[in-house]
Amino acid sequence: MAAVSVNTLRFEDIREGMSASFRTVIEAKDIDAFAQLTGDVCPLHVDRDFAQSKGFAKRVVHGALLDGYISRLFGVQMPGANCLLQSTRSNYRAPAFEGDEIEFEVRVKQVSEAAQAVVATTSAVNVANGQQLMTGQVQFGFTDAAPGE
Amino acid sequence: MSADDLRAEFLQRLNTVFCDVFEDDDIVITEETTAEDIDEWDSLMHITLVISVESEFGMKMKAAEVGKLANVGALIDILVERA
Repeated sequence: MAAVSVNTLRFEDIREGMSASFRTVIEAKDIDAFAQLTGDVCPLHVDRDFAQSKGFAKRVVHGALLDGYISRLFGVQMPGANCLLQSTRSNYRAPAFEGDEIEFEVRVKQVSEAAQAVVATTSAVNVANGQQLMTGQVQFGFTDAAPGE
Repeated sequence: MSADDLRAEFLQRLNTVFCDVFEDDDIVITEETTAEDIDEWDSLMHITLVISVESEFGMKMKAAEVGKLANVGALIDILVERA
């Protein structure tokens, strides 16, 4: 895996309204890898003919894979290395298909000094047609600061 | 609105918050309720509770205030003070 720059933001750096995002194309091999990793080989995800027999144009991306890309935003970009996810909630509003380019975004909704925790909204949008695929909310805290940090 | 009425309204709103956070519609809190009274009230749920209270009442609390709360009544004291 190519080296990735991971941010090291701390609680004090986070402000309401801050956001992070990235775009990626979810390819068939990504769905296959996720199916193999988790064992979720539901034919809706791994069998194109089956998916089409159910009225879908292509194989449907696992909802949890979308959540995985959201996890990447928190674990790599905002806040990055100091992140501790505490809870997640996702609503899958429309199917994502193999080959779709998707934009993932997280935006800080609430910063609690008392709880030393942050609530952020999450979303996944089909870049080609603007369709909202997923919305949700995540709560996260922070690992303790290392000595001297 | 009298001070007692305000406390009663806040207690009712807090009860709704508690039911949402602990995903239990049967929870009934009083001003004497503490973390000892609700099995799922651990440190993580406490964080979620604080965030949810701040959101419900549109206010921010301080870490020092939250750290020394004795019971729900003490939380209502803070909410009344900020009202």
